Amino acid sequence: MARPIACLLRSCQRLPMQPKHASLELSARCPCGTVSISVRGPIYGMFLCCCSDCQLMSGAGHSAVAIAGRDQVQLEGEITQFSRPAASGATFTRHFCAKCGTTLLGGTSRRTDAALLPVGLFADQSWFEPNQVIFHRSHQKWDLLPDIPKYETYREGL
Amino acid sequence: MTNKTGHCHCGAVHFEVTGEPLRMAQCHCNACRRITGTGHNVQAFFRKSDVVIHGMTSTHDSVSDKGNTRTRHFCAVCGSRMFSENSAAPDAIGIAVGEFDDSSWFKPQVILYNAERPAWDPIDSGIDIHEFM
Repeated sequence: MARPIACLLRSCQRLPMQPKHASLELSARCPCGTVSISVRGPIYGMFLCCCSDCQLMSGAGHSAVAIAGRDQVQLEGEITQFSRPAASGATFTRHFCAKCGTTLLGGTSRRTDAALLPVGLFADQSWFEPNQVIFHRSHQKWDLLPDIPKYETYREGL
Repeated sequence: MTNKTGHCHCGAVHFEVTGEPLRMAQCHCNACRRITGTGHNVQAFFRKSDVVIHGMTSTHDSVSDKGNTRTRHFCAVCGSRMFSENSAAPDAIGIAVGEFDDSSWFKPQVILYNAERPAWDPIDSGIDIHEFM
């Protein structure tokens, strides 16, 4: 039996997690049209991240992330990857369009079965209901956040 | 005058800015959400003559709702969002605020495309809000 996607962010030994959305069908194309992404399946977690890496990658004050199963995500087109060590000690890899720089997908070596989706990529975001802000320690005062729980680094569990 | 500095995630591109921003904006349009992956883009605009860029960026051109050409710059190595230019304002350059080493001086003066703002992404109702441009 496949291990449920639980506590992707830090420990893999947490309790199994119920999907936040039983199943979604999402699709998007990067602005230049080179790469397309489609997602069909449950969403396991939704959060905002204020870490300095997310600020550098997005150019904004935080990222907006939804977690899906990697095998439920399909990418088509030429992708460039960039990897760096995450605060957890895992290697975080970001996949972006080589032509327009748009992020399509993120992934961590800690849970290769999970896909981190950049929510802004999808035209319809009505399904996105973040329930936490992580890495609030590097939050910028000019960046307004919704009134949801905030954690200095990772939350224990999702 | 204090210089402002910044860089992309991998360090292949870095920059220095003298002078104060011409404009500080937060945009929720569909194009800005897609390129940032989040609910909005935040940029500070400066005179090009006040900005020195080290390293090479890649660019992608698109057409704005007003018919102007937007040129978005990103680092080809790490994909970080960096700069933007607009054919309507050839002497100005926008810098993604997340790239600055210290952005404590930043405060958005205007919200653009509030009509396309996601419900989960709050704004300061006390600043100038435009439903579109």
